Amino acid sequence: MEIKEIKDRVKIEHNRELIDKVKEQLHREKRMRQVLSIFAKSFSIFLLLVFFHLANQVKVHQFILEQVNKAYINVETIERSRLITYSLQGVAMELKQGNYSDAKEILKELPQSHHKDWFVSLTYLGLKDFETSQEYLVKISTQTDHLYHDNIDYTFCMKYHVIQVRNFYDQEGKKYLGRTAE
Amino acid sequence: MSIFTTRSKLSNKEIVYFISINEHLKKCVKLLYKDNYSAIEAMILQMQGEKRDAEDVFRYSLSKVIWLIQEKYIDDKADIKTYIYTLSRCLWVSTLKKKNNYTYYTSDSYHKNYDPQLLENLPFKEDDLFFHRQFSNAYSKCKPITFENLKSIDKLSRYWNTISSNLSKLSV
Repeated sequence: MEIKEIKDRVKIEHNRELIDKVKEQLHREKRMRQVLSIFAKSFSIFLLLVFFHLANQVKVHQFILEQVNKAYINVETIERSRLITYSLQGVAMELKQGNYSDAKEILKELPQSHHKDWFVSLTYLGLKDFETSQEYLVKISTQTDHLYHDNIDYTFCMKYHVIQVRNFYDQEGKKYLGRTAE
Repeated sequence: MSIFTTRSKLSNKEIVYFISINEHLKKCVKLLYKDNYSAIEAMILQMQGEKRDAEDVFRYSLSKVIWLIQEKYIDDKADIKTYIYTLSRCLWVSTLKKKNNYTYYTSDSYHKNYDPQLLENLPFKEDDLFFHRQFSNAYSKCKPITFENLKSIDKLSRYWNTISSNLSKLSV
């Protein structure tokens, strides 16, 4: 083979080496994409499992009970009018027992107060009227001097939304089963 | 003409231009690799080849096309896809012929990117995969090779001539 052809072939080999490098790079990128994709899928599944776990852990009545227990202490220490205090204690008792309709009836008679806002939001949550419940929660969270303002933290919001989503799917499930039964 | 690094695609003309001035070679090779490899692989697999053969045929054909552009055998009016496909097919057919394993593939001769007329003015018509693999082997054994140092080219030439005499006896 002539020297010229050898030189030409060496140039082709140089290009071949460059192609090999690019090929390696493409393989690395592909592997990286695969790893990222697996990681993203695993993370999504993990999040989903966490959500399902939370959804199973959070029970509406248990959640309301926890919030009423926090409020009950405040009622005893702050509210001065004895009649109102007794009524609020009655509401708390009804909420603890899960009698949300009765609690709603008592609350109707009570004057406006921070305690009433808090109990009304919990009562409507128990009745699964999220729209009204949220109205009161928004009112509490926007008033920085509200007695229950600090109760609405990240944990509260997360649990509240989990209950809301779970309720939505429960309703959908009922609707779906109702239709198939027909 | 300037390169826009955020652009993922370059036109045929831009690729030829950048290769001819030896700039942004990696990016051009990357684009050519992504755009053409699957077609070559499909062709080789259809013609009794394996994945390894497809990879080798593709990289040798692509390196040759890049060299042809650098040496101005190919201008910016040419369709690089057609060159890569035609050279790859030619290289693989020569390899199959050497293995006495070639049957005529009509469907592939009518592929939109196959144009045998392109080969008329190109050097190294008698190439095959086996030849390339042997030369690559010789090249890697005689490294480093620089054009400024003619001794290294002479060394490779002598080494190549000793092994190339036995080339026809070997099989792929």
